[in-house]
Amino acid sequence: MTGAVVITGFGIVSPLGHSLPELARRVAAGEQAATTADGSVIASIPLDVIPAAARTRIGRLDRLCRLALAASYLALDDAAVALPLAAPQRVGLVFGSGLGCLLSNAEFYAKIVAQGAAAASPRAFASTVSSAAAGEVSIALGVHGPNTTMHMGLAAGVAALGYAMDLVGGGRADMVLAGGVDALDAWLATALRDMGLFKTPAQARPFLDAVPGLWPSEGAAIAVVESAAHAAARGARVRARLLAYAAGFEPTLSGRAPLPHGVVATLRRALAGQPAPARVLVSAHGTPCDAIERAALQAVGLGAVPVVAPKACLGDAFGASGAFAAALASAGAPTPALISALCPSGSIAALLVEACAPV
Amino acid sequence: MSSRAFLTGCGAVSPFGVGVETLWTALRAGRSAVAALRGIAVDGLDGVLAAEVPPAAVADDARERIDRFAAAAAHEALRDAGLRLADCDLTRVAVVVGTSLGAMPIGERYLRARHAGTPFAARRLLGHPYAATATTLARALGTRGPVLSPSIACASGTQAIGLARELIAHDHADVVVAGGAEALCEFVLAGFACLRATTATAVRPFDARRDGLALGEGAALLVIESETHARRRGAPPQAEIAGSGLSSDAVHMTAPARDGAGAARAMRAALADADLAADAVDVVSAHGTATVFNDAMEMAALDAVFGAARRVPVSGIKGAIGHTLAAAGAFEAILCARILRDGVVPPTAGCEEIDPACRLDIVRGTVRRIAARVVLSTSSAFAGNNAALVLRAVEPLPQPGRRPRGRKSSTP
Repeated sequence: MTGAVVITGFGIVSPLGHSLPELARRVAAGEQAATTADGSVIASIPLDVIPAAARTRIGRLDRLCRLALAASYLALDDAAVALPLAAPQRVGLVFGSGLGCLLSNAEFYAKIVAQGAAAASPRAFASTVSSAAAGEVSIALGVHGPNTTMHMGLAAGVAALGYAMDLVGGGRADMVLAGGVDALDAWLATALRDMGLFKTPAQARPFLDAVPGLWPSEGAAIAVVESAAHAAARGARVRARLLAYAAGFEPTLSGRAPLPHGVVATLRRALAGQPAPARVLVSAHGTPCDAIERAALQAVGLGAVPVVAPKACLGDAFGASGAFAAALASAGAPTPALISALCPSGSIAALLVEACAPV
Repeated sequence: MSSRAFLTGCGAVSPFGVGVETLWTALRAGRSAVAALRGIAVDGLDGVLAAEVPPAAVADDARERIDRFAAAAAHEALRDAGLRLADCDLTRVAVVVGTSLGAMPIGERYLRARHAGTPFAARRLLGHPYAATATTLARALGTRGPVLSPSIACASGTQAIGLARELIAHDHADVVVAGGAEALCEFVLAGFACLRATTATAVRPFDARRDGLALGEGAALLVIESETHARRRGAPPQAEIAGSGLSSDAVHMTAPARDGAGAARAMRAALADADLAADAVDVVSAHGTATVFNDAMEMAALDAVFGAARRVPVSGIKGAIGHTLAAAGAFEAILCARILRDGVVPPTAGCEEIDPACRLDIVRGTVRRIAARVVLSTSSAFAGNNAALVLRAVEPLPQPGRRPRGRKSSTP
């Protein structure tokens, strides 16, 4: 039993603007994100979208929570959902994150390393649960329904949208705020450099540069996912329809797989209901597994369809990347778009989205 | 929900050692594995109590301890289910491992090396993130289906089992290896100590003298199959994962909601999902961390769900194996399945003098025989997350000679 599921709004906090129309315009123009001096990519998080009464906690929030909170308010605004929520127990939250609160973890533990366990800070520890961002948002918005955080590396945002689709389609919630969020700072960039996985934009061109590693970025893309019936009942504008979701695993994603069965099977399942796959657009993961992705797209009959890779503009915003791709597809032509997300860890998620009305 | 989800195999690496039967025997005997911390040095903390997996339980090799725990538990669960993955469509086999810390010791070693200016093989950090435990397990098992890492802190394991049922219901998988894993580390021991959430004496769930939790570790993995898949291969179901529910307190990041409303919502959602009324529940597996506020919250939540007139039997395992965080809910799901199989409810280790404010029927002292048909498991977590599961006995009745439904429980 799965009812129709739609997206009625997006909250975007990105290196290329804090609204879907601005992001779509700047990506279409081929703009590229720039890294700031402190290692982050988003120069300023739009905290002014948070109502004054809910700003008292901001001082104690880490970067991940701030990104998620700002994007969540923007999403509700874009979907014209009023606060307080009319039926909070029927509203859920599903955040996908590649790195979660690793930055706060490092801050918490660095103090222990320097001064011993007795110096550990309770307030800092509270930010070291990776569900903290969803928890803070649930408190701010008064969300009482299903609330979870999903980790799936670079595919986490797509997995979150997919799970939201199941929650709404299965009747467990009427509305779910879902998407991806990841934060960046100098510590993380250093760790990537130590691992030999840090790439500059010039080294991270989708489908051109096959060297392992990524051009790190950050941001949050949170969708308001609703049952079509719920959206219709409240007279909401529908931005996009969620048509299908599939997830899978391919252990050789980070290596050279001659036949990536897991990727092919996952993409096939996402496309199973499509009468004419040749009409599908592809928003590719793009890097760093692009050789395998190309082979898999060919294997499922998508070797000749138009392919875009928003990472060429946005960088790799970890778990947020796939949610940015879904947002951009929702702002595009009313044609089914396959959002493909492949994490070098082996996880794969694929979402089929169809835009309804031009933004 | 179209296809039912059957539990066909269980595996556990617990502070009592390797194996579900080792755990089940110790739980029925009312034993506790909580003792002075031995295996991990926590600079600047004394008198820490914890429930550690015995060093000899899992072979020492280059893998992270959490990965060794998870692999050993998963292999036991597959053996218990009589399932050879090579016989399955591997793209229809999912892995779901609830996580709260990932492989945190890798991050600890990296930060210590950076602080000291000593070399560190930084590529090892790839095994550190939250999703790494699940992907490492999937890699070891060779599966190709969805690999998910739900992370709602101390309720992650409970959600993982519920997610397995949802993956089957939404036709994402036929078989799910689901549960949770946790390995103790300095990071988390220091964290709970600084919150003053830990006890210096003993873990006493629902006891008048309770003063905190002790952390534990281990892994609990379950094999959950669609009814069709299990029946086709003739696998006997140990229980049905009949319902699951999630909720959000939306009150506080580290303290439970005093009124238990959030936990009650998750329990009611799980019961509704199972299409059962609260009075169908025979036994409850409580979260029961033995902190003052958690247990008080749970008393209120269970009263709200079951009503003042009903004293439902409640058992909790955190006095026995400590609070195993992301693994806790998966251990508790195994407890529920064993209660259904054997008609025996273990005592709540550590609970001696019941809190006078507690109106619950806490099973304590010794095992109680209850021919349970429906067991409810509840978990609550930081960030205000709650998760609940309903496990139901599957026909035909597992054992002959059990009393018919409707008879009240009795203490032997």
